[in-house]
Amino acid sequence: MPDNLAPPSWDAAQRRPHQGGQAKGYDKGGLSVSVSVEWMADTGAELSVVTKDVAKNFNLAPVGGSASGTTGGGGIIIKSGMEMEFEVFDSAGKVVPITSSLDVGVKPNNDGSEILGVDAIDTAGAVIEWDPGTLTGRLRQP
Amino acid sequence: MTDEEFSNWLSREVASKDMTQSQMDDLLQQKALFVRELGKPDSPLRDPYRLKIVGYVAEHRRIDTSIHKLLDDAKQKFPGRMIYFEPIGFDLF
Repeated sequence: MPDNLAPPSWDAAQRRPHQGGQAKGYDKGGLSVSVSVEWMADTGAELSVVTKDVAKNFNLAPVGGSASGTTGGGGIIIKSGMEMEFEVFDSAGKVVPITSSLDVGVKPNNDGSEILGVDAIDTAGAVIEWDPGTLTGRLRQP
Repeated sequence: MTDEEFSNWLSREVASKDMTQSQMDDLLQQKALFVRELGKPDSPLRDPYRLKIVGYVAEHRRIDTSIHKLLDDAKQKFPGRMIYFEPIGFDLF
């Protein structure tokens, strides 16, 4: 089966799995907006999270928030209204586009990656395979 | 994130029209209730909720092990209200 996870484009030596995708929604004027992102597939993340600058492209509805609960002690605001697009392979190796409309966390800054959490991976019915030695892997449906 | 940092962040959200003043006030009110009833992170009052996510919405305490279930429950039972939450004994990401 081919790979759909790789190091991020900005650092070919990084050992964490990324995949190019889209964040989609509507801006404050009601126009459709699509932003290219590199999702970091993170099995240590309960929910998917985007940076401040990605979130500000969209008109998102705040749902709640927390001043703690993240590694490093940062806060998070939960918002609705953004879709995450990424892809997985089906059991035959065919590309399956996935759209997740789950609420996302928004960081207070632009530190770190856009995070594809286990919530979105589970929505896709996918498992994650990643070899940090060869820097290859895939999100695939069993 | 300190109380001041969190409050300042919400103020910036209001200034950029990404949150309303009433949503900010609601969230800080729920946060204050959370701290009043469960204390700071090292408080033994939190021990019964270890490895759960505790939230306060509309002055009600809600508990779940899944952040999305907690959020969906809050939205269903208290539409339009903000939920303040903290995972107890673990990090969300």
